[in-house]
Amino acid sequence: MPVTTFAAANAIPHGEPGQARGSFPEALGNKRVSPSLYEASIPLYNRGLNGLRLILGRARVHAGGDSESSLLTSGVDDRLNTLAGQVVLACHRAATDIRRVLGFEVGKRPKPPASFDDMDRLIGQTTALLDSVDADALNGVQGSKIAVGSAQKGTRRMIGATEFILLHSIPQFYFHLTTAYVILRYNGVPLRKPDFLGSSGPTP
Amino acid sequence: MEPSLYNTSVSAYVSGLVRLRGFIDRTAEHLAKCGFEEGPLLGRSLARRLHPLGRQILSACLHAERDPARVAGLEPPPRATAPMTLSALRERVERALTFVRSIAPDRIDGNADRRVRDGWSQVSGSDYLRRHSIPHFYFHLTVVYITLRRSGIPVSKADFVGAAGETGAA
Repeated sequence: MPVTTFAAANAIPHGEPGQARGSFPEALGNKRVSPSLYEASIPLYNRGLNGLRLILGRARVHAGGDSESSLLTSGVDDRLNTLAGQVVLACHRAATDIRRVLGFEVGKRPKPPASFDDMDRLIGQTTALLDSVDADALNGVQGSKIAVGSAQKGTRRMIGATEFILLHSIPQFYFHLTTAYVILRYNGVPLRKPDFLGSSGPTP
Repeated sequence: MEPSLYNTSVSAYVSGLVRLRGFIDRTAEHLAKCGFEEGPLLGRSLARRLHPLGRQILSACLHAERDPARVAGLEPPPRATAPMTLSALRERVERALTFVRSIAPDRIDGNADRRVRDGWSQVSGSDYLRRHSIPHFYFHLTVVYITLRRSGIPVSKADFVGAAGETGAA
């Protein structure tokens, strides 16, 4: 089952047992500390994925509760991935980009889920995986280099891990979230403004 | 690059606005080549009650200018709703770029704890930019991209993410 493989392939190994796990914003307390890569990325992916879960929940209600609704294979353009594809890509983006920065091998992209249940499970696995990231470990690799671009097209270059997350990973992550939202709106799912990201959503 | 609030928001907006300007240029070239009019395209909306293309471009500019300005305690430029032509919208994006680039990093990073109004509540500058502004900005940028794709304008995922489109998956 692809979703199980995704979780197993992307599990993030931990540092020393008992090492403090980073959380946000509690770990920061009232003390003013300079923002870390962890703070700039993990809460943002998690919020985005929770928002995605919320709009998928509304879509499922709209589909009359049908877990294998045709909405999953709906798109907004032939050359853009379907709803299920966008969900996989959003999850894969967050999970593999963080793994790459941490220096782990990147897991294979899972197949698009076949049901709302599978999508929900995949998102749950991804947020669990992001929660398991050790803040110190992530902050410790801020200076490392990541290869971007395509070797075939001659656009391959090395950029810093922070630039990779802030200017490459996060825009693409939001690209997939927004595309999923637009596919649902396009297919008549009555989403409201605040549905996109918790309490504060986009203007229409 | 440091993962500062400035880089998380303003640097990302500069990068995003440059891509938005690229979309507009790509569109103008394509329309000129095909002899199509720009009016219907700029008025095109992806779904009922979703603003049309021209307004989406404007919204991206407004978020990029006004949200960091609010945190920085700067007077944002006037809203200036550009006429809905490609050349006016391109100028509008240029204006947003000029303003956003003029914001000093300290104005953002030094005001991360400053309370700003978000709807009915007060949030920190950091939460405002990370939770509200960034998702909105990318929302509009993505809607512009999808509208162009659907309209046959040859923009690619590589235009959206620059050289980082390593997966090529759209």
